[in-house]
Amino acid sequence: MILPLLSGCCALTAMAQHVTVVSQTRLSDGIEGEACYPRLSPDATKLLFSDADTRGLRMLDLNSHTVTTLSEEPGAGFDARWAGNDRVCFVTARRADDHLIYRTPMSYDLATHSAQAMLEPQHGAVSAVVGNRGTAFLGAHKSRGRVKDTGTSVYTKGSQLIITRDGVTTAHSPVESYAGYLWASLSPNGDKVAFVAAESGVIVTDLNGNVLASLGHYEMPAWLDNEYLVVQNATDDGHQFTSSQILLLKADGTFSHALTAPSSMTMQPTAAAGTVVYSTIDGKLTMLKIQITQ
Amino acid sequence: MKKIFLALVSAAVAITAHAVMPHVYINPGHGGHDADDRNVVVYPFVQGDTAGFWESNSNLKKGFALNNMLKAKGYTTSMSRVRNTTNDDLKLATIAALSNSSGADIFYSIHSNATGTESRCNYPLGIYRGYSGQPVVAGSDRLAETLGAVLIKNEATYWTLNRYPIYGDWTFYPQWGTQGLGVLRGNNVVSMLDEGSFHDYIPETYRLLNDNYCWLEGWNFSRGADSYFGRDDDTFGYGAIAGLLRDSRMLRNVSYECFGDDKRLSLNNAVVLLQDLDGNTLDECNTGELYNGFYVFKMVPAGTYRIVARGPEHYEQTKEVTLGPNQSAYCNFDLMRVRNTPPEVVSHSPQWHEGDAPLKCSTPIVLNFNWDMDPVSTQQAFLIDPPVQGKFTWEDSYYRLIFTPNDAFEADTRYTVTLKATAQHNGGMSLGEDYSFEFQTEARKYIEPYVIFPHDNDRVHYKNAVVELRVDSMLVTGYYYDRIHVYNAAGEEVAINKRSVKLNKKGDDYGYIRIPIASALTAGERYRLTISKELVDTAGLRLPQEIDYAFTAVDVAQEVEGLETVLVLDAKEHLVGDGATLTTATDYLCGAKSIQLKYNLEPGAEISFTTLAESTGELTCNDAIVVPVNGDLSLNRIIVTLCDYAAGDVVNVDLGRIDFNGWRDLRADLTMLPAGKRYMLSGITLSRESDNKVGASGTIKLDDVLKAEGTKPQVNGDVNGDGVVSGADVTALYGVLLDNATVAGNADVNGDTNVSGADVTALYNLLLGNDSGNASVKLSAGTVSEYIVASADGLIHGMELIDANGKTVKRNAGNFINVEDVPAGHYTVVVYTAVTATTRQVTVAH
Repeated sequence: MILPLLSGCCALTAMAQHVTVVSQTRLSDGIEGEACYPRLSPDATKLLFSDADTRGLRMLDLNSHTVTTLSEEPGAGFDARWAGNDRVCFVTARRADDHLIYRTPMSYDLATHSAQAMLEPQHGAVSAVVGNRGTAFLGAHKSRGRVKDTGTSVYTKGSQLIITRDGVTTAHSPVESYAGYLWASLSPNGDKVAFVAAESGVIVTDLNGNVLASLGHYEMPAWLDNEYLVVQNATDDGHQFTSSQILLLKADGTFSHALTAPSSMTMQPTAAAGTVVYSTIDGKLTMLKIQITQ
Repeated sequence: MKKIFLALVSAAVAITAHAVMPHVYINPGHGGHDADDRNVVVYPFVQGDTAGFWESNSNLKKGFALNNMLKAKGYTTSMSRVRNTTNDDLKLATIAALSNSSGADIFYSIHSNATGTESRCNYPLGIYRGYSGQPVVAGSDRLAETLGAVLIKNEATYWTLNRYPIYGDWTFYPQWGTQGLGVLRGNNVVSMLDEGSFHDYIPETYRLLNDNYCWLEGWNFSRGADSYFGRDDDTFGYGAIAGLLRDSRMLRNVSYECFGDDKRLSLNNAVVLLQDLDGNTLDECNTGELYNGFYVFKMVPAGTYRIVARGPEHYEQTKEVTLGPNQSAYCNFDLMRVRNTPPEVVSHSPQWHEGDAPLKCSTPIVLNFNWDMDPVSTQQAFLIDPPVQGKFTWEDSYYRLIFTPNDAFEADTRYTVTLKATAQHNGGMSLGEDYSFEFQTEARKYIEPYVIFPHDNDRVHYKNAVVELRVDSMLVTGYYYDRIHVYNAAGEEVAINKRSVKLNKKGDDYGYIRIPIASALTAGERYRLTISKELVDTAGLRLPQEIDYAFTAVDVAQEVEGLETVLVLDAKEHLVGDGATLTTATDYLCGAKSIQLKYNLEPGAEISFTTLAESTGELTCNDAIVVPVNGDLSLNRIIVTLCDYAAGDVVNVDLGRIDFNGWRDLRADLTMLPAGKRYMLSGITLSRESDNKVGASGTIKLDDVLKAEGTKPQVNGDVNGDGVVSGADVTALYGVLLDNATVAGNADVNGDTNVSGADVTALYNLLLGNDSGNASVKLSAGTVSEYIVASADGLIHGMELIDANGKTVKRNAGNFINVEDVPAGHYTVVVYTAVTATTRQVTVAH
């Protein structure tokens, strides 16, 4: 159903780029229930996903179509991250008797199929910072590893974009935001950062925090390659989603292409190595193979 | 004084700080004053004015208050917005992600509600993700319960529900499946969305326009959070005292719906003082100018206080309030207005002066005062002569008294209304002197029904039955279904077809309500029609009495079954005059079709269609003609014309008025036809009498014309029963005497109750013309107003009243004719006896 639509859209862009959906596959083998918040491994051979409420974390091997459960814990699916192609970092959240939520950073080794708590459960925000040389686990009270040892990495803290390069960490606030920044990621070649400023949408900066492009009021940017991102373009009435689609954007802001229609209620895109996976409002995963030619 | 409190607060925070403080994420819903925001337009604001009510404004004010109070209590907080632009109206997935990333323990999404319909209500409501009782994030149900327990105790509002409903969003929005609320989807913090009140309930809209009222809700949210975390102890030593100021009795003069105490006037610009028990003023609050009368004292140390309320035109009132630590205390005031001049009647109605046209009998009496009056003393001081039973109502916050008579005033009567000097306003001052005026009523006192169907003890065809009332004025039809009822024999109300009800409208010639019964009635069953006297016309007049009629459902088709057909009516073969059309109708009583006559008729006019002679059967004086008519309650008359083509004799037979709806078999005995003559149906006429107000137009249907056995005239000498006296009767009489024949007619020719040879002699006399038969016919009077009664030596078989134009006005198969509804004038009466017709002259005078 989508392919004819995509061809039409391409004809309209009148840019040098030509987008072709090489294949479109519904990912359902071995998946029971809703599958949301997908995260592709850097080599696009494995896919993390959770349920609609970020409870639990599972991995689908896109070659063998087998599903492995990495965690059953609440919150595990919210911001799971690949540390290379063989390790997954995520944070679980548990409510204690004092009604406070305690979060635990976890690391899962795909080789040994073992999960390890990287810190004791602690109150407040906990996150994993994954760089090209290592991972740091940051907590409101206790941390493990140092961000400066992660090589090149990026994460957000409130309305700050924290960029580490060659052991030097700097904080940037390239655009004004009261509510904060979210969904920071490095481009595959590590020379650009994409993130969302809550009030402004998707921003692309260099590693010095200089804004290269402001791509619009979208959410959940994910790098397809060093030049293109996919994003979620959702609208709402203040209570529920009224539309949601997946857009392909060029990081410099010169090209935009709809991969799905607004009425498709497609959301939460992830991308790597020419592959896009997204979910739907009712938790169905779809994988697209994209080819972009000049 | 506020500075003193702030210093105290800082100290309290230091005391109450816990080692691990909860983190609350605050999401003031909506934002941007744009399409997905909610604007309620109330005076003095106009559509789109960002200073008016927008849900984003009040949500944000509540959020700020909650944020500040939680911080004051030592919590960590995050907010999704602190401004109100479109860009601040964050996307839902972004809000959920911010909540997750913040490290929060709980998430409050702050909203207010709207019915989305014309109905109004006001209560808070909590929603969490999941099915009701099965929250996706454990603890979310408890979060809603702890908040709701605080919010529902707010007494500075009016709740139409005295509990805090809590739902899972998958239950509350079943049409969304498990999509649920966007800010709760994927939000792994213990979370809920609160609809704090209904912002389209206008008194609440005005309260939400008060920053202090929003602050109170934010403060109560903080108490809900304390309760959730088990921190609702007395370590936070401050609270809030809040309330509403309203007039003790004056009502809001508004068109929007108000409930309970919200019906009374909220006091603008009233001043409320917070005092210690020594009378030292600690703080002051003004209720503002936006019709909410709300005040609050924030961050008040626990203790006992005096609250002094002063309305701009009201007596001061003081109450004592005790405030617990970390509590809200509510103290509402109903202030009595200062009334410092005597009451006066500033105007009255009806205004009537000698020589003016008389007033309608339903006219209410209205007195307008300069003050809001004391209803008890004022009603006691109200006199009307001649005395009239009625009811008092008050409007405009007791500034207006209305007296409405239970029944209409008497017709053509002079009334004097007096308000005695003892009438007082609520401040206790009296009128000073009597106030008096007069008015004259017109002659018409009641609605006059032209016709009501069914009549009492009527017969109604069981299928497609219709109840209808036609009256001389336009009816107020809004509540017809409460005024008109049909009950079956078991006393159960019979359902009506509301969609097909027809009601009078402006410009109609007369008032009417036409109510189809929803289902077929049961033939043979008795029913009741009741019409309440509460049915009024636009002048406020009522029916002269309640209607309570019995009627019986019948199957008219069954009643005419087997009768001989005189003429099959066919719309294509009959001609009709201007102002009418004849068409074939599929609604029939017998056969396969009927004809439909749609007409317009001027008063006194008639419309006819003729039949073809060769197509009709014969009719004699021994027959009754039967015409099945589907009536239209027009009160127009159906007249059939019979013709003896050989003799050129024409007789009109009046079948009566169409005072019914639905099918009915109109019948008339043809005893007036000359004995021995044979007639055929030559035409049917619809006639509107000159005084018929409801017959100007309509539609009737007629089915095949039938004949039944009539009430046979006992023709003296007609021994063989063929309708004529001839030589054949002599043979027949001999047969009777010789006991070898049965009597078909009347063999007792001489009337001595014995059949004998003397009857043969009498029969010969008849044949020889020796008996005139009409000499004894007499009328009761030459001038009549009610009944013409005839007498004769022999049996009278019928009478006919003929006007000066030769038109038969009335018939009756008896020795009388009722002329009550016959126009005054000179008429000829034909009296039919056994063998002849006798004419007499009569004058009808009313």
